[in-house]
Amino acid sequence: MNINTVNNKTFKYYFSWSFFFHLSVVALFFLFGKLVHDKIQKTKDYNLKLISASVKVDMVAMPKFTLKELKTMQAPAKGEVPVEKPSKKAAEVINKGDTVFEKKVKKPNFLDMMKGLSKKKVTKTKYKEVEKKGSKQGVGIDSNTLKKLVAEGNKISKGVALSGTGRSDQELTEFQMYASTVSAQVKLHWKLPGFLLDKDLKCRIRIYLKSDGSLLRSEIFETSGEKEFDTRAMKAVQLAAPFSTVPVASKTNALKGEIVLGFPL
Amino acid sequence: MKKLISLMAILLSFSAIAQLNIVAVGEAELELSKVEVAKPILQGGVTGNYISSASTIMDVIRNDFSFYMKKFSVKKELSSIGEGSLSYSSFKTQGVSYVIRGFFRQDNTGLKVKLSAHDIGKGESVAEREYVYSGSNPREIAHKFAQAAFESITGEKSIFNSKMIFVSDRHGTRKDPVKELYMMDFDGGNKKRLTRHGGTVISPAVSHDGTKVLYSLIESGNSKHRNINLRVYDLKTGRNSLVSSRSGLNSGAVFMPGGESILLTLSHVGNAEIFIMNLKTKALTRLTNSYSPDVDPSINTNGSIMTFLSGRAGKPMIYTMDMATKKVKRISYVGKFNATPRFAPDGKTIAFSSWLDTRFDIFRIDSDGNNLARLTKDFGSNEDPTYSNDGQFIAFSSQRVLSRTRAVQNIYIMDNDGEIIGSITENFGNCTTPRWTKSL
Repeated sequence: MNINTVNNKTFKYYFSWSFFFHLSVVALFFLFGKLVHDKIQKTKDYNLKLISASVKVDMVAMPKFTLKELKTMQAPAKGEVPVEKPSKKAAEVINKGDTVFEKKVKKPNFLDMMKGLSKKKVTKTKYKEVEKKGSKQGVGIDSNTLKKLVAEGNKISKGVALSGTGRSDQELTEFQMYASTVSAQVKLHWKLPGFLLDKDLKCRIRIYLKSDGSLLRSEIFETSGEKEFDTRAMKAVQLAAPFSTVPVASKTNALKGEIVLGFPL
Repeated sequence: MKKLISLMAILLSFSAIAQLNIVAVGEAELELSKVEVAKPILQGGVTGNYISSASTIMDVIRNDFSFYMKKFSVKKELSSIGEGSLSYSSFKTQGVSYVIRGFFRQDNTGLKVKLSAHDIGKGESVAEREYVYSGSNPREIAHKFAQAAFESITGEKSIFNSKMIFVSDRHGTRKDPVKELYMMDFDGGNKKRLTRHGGTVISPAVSHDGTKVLYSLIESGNSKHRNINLRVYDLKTGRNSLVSSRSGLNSGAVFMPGGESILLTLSHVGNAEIFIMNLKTKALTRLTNSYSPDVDPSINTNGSIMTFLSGRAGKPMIYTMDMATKKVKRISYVGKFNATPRFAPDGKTIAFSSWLDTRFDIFRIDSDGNNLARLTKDFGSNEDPTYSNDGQFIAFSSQRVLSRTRAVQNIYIMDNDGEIIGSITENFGNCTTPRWTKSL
């Protein structure tokens, strides 16, 4: 009896202890398992992201759209991009002049840079996404159009100044913007017959402008090697002239012939 | 100090150079060169059939140029241009780039034809040819001149002298189907029957020099030993002879460059495989070795790479084989049923047909497996693509369903981007399996 009660006591005692002990072990086990699971999931997700970012998405079905349809789809996108960008930039410049007068010395450059950077990223990703969508839908494009699409996607602003991004752009942008309007005007007249278009030729033309925007002189800066190509490029410049009035600050630059037009780059 | 000044000077001059702003104008817009072809200018008394032949010649030249829609915009009808000297300036103001004229004078030997093409921009004639037409084939003269003019304008070879081999069932009936081999100019003119087997001709192929045609024949009749045998037709002599009659398939043959050996599909080994056969010795070399059928070989112009269809992936897919190393590479990974891969002459792209949405359509893929593109859509069921000699065009057969029991197949031409130019056979039975001659 005595023993029994003692046993009973110890049994209860040990039982409760063992119960709680096991419970906590199980709880700990679950907790630990959850932690490990989360950790694994995290690395899994991370790896998946890493892979999906670095792996090209391949087509999984036959393309539904024909090449012809794809071409007509791309056409409007091209037209829209160049029109929007410059106006935005211009608006920004004015705003800065109005409000931030004292800080000018310290911040504008940095701000500009940051803004410029953020802008670049935005436009870039936008176009990349568009491209990806296309490839997911099963879009097949021949290498030439693909090249063009990629070039279009990487375009930051209209006036693709090949030499200009690394400098402090404050005064250059105005002139560059003017130069880009010149190139836009020339583009309207820039036409080639099929057999010259196929040959993938390049030439550059240097132009000298009076302050009223009229063409003073134009010369071949880099020849394509094909006379017909050069003369057609020259003709496009001459047909496009006169250009809009040169901004006062850029007068000398334009007169000194600092604009070189690249056909096509 | 001096050093400093000179350094400054250098820096200044450097910055002066660097200040050049290079602005991209971008890709040029395509400007089609306007072409006008004149009505025939008849000199002296041209009589009888010669009058209509003269306008046929000018019409065919006009039509030839209109095939190159990416290069030329050709005026729809012949324009009336006088026989005097050409007024380049007035054409220039109209924006015309090239003018083609033809003078015709009849004498006792035949019709003297003098054709000339004029470059309006340069203000001179760029091609002039004289021919004597004896009354047999006006289209040949037209194609010859069109080729000469095209080459002097663009510096490239055209398709104008090329021909097409195809199969038509126009002499067969439903009960007794007969499919025979035919040949025509690339634009559908001069259709000519080649074979008279009274059987079914399938999968023809032209040799690279354009003198021989390989085809397979299923003889008519209900014999138990009906077989698909391979034959060769000599375009010069008009004779045909048996090449291979092993049990099973002897088909899908194409010429290797040089014309001495051929690639063909044989199934006497139990399962369709691709072999090389020397035409003289008939010696066989086995190329493919797989448990699944390998068919439809096609080879590029220099013979370095072959493309074929294989079922080794479970579905018919396109593969290429490097002819030097015999290494096989899978090209296509999609498509329910891919068929008839055909190389462009340069071997860079492969045109093929594939089953999509209840019909076959023509697709194009680079020979490295990239840039899969669809070329036809909503245009009937399209099969059997074949590239032109310059790789700019693809001919194919397209089927239209007319009623529940009737459908018609014709041969169409499109450019290599899928812009359809038009049909070149009409009311000539069901025309299938076009094969474009690659050199003529």
